[in-house]
Amino acid sequence: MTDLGAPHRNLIDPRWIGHRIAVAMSGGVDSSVTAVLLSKAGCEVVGITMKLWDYSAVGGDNARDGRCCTVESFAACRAVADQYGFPHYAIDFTAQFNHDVIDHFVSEYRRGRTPNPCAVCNTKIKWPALWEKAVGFGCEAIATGHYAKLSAGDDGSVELRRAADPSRDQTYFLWGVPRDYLTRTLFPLGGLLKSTVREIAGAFALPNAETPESRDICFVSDGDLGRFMRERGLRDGVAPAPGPVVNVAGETIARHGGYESLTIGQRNGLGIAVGRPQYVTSIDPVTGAVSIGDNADLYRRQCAVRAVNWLAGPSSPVFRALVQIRYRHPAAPAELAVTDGAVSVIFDDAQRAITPGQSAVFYDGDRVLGGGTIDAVGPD
Amino acid sequence: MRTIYCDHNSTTRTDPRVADVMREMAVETFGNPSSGHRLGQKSRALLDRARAEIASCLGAKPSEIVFTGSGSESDNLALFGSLVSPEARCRRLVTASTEHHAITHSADWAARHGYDVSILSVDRFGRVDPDEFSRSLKPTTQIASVMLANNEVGTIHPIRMLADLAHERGVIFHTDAVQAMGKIPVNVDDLGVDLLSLAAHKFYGPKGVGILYVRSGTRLAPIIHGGGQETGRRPGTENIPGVAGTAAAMKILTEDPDEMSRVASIASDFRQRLTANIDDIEFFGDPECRLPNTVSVGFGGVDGESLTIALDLHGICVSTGSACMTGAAQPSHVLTTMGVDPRYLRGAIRFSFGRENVPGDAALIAEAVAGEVARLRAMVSPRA
Repeated sequence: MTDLGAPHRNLIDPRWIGHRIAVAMSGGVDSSVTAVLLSKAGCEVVGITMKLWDYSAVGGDNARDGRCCTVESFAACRAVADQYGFPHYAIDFTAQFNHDVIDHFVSEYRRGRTPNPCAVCNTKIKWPALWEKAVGFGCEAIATGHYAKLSAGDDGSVELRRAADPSRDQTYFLWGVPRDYLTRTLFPLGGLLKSTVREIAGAFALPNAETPESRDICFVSDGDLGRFMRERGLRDGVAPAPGPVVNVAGETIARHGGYESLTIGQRNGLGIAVGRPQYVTSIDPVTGAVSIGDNADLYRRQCAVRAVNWLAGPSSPVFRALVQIRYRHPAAPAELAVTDGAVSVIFDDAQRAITPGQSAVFYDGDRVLGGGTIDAVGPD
Repeated sequence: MRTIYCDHNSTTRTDPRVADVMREMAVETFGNPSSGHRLGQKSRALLDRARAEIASCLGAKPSEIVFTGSGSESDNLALFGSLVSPEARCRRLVTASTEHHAITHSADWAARHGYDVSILSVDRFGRVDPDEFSRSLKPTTQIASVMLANNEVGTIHPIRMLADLAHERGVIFHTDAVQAMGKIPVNVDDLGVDLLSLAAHKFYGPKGVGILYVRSGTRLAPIIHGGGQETGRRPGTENIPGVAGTAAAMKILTEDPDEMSRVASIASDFRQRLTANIDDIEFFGDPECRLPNTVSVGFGGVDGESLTIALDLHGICVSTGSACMTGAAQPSHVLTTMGVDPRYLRGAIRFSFGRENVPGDAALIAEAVAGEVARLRAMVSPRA
C-alpha cells in the first residue's frame, strides 16, 4: 500500500512526535484520519470516543446511522484503532454533556434564543472535560479532526486560524476554547481540503472512508427540533408558550402555538399568509410575542456580545475586526467596543438576522481574536 | 511490552488442553445427540460422559446438571424457572443488593411484573445479615437467591447457613457460584443448595457455556421453549464442544489443587505492597471470608477510569468497579450498596489474579499502580 502518511507528516507539529496524544474519535472520517496520521507520524495515539448522549435521553430514531454516539460509530472507532494498532477507549461524558450542553440548549430556546451547542460542547466538554481525563492517563495533548489551524504568533503565543478549506472551516465553533488548552492541541486537518482527507482515508483503507457527513445537531438525532423541544417540554413539565404574532406596525395578526423552536430569519413555520414572504424578526420571551416582517426588516447593524473569550486580547478598547454571526455567514467588517467583559459590535453595513444565542466570532483576516454569545440586537 | 493480565474475574484464557478437546469435538463429533444414528449416538455418549464428569466434580448426580448458554442464563433459569413453574404457589423472591446484574435486573423485572421482591441490604463488607435474611422469608416466599462469592469484592457468603434457613421455611434456595468455581470448593451437598449457577469461562473453560445444578425434586419450568433437550428444562441442540471443554476444564481444576494457594500468595503479596507504598487507600470486601485471588481497592482522590486506562497503557489489564465497553460509567452497584465513601468509590479498581500471573507480577503491578496514583494525585489542569 502506498504510504500516504509520509507526505503528510508535515501536518503534525514535530514537537509532539513521540509523545502520547489523545485523539477525540467520533467514528467519522475526519477524526479517524487524524488518529492514523498521528500514529503514522510517530505519536503515541490513544483514541478516545466520547459518549455524549444516548437515545434514551434525547429520543428520536436510533436506527439512523452515520452519526456520533451510535453503536455503529463506536464500532467504527474500534475498527480503525484495531487496524492501526493503537489503543482506543470509550469514555462516558453523558452527565456533563446533559447538563452543560443539552440543558443549556433547551433553556436558550425557551428564552427565545437560538443556541450554538457545538461551541458550548467544545468550550465545556471537548476541551476541559476530555483534557481532565486524558492527562490522567498521561496524554500531553489533544488532537481532533476539526478544520482549523494553529500556529505560533510572533511572541510565541498560540494563534487559531481559519482552515485552508473555507467550506469546512470550523473556527466559528472553536472561539470558546480557553487559550491554555490550544497550546496543547493539534488540528492536523486544518491545512487540508476535505477531498484530500477523503483520499487519505481511502489510501489508509479506513472502513469509514465513505461515511456521510454529520450535520445539524448531534443530539437532535432526527433533525426534528420541534419534536425534540416538544418531548423535552413534556418531560420537564414545561408547556409551549403560545402568544401573538405581531407585524411591523405592531398589530397582532395571528396567534402561534409556541416560539420554543423558532429562530430569527425563519420563513416558514407560523402558518401565516399575508401575500408575500414573511420572516421571524424577533422573539420576546416575556410577552411571548413573535414579530414578523419582510426580508428587509431583518437587517440590523448592532449587537451586544457577552461571555467573551479572547484568544488574542483586544489591543485597544475600540478596534476594527471582521465579525461572523452564524456558521455560514461571511464575516463582515465592524467596529468593536470592549466594555466590562462585553463587546458591542457596530457593523459597517447592516447584517441579516443577527440572532441572540448565536456566537459572534471576531477575526483579524483569518486569525481568530475571540468570540462570545450574541446577547441583544440593536438599537438601530 | 508484556501484557500482564490481572482480570481473571472477568474471564480467563481457555486452557489449551480444553481447546484441543473442543476442536476434536467440533470437527469429529458433529452428530446431533438427538439423532438416532451412529453419529448422533456418539455425540450422545460424549455428552453423557461430560455431564457425569461435571456432576462428579460438584458432588451432584448427572441428571441434576442442566447446560445453558451462560452464567446469566443459568441465573435467569433458576429464578424464573422457579417462579413460573406450575407447582409454584408463591410469588415472593428474596435476594441481595450485591448480586450480579443477571439476578438484580431479573428481580427488577419480576417486581415490575407483579412479583413481591425483597432485596436485602449488606454491611460494609458486602455481607447479608442471616437474621435479616431469615426474617425476609415469609410463607409466600418461593425462592431465595444469594451468591456464593461476589465478583467485584470477593466476599463469600455462608451459603450453607442461608440454605438451611430457607429450607426450614420451605423456600427454594439458589446460589450464583459463577465467581467461586475454581477459587474455593464448590460442592452442592456441602452448600446444601437446590440450584447453583456456573459459567465455564471463569475457570479456564470456553465462553458460551453455563451450568445450572438442579437438585432432584426441585420444580423448574423451562424459560426457553422448544425441543426436549436437557430433559425439557433447556431446549436447544446441545453445545457438545463447549460441554466437553467444560468437563475438561473442571477436571484440570481437580488435578491441580495447589494452584489457588499459589495465586493467593501473589494476591496477598500485592495487597501488602499497595498498603506499604500508597497512602489513602481502602480495601473492599470481607477481610476474612473473601476470594483469595481478588483485590478490590479504592484510591482516594483518584479517578478509577483514568487509572485503569493508564495501567492498560502499561500493558496491565484490570477492571474498574464495573467495566463497560460502550463507556457507560455507572458507579458499581456493589460498592454503592456497601456504603463505600464516594471518594474511594470513584477510584475503585478490581485486580483479580489467576493462572496468567507469576509471582513477580505483584511487584510489577504494585509499582505501576503507585506511580500512576501519585501522578493522578499530582495532576493539575493546564489552566492552573
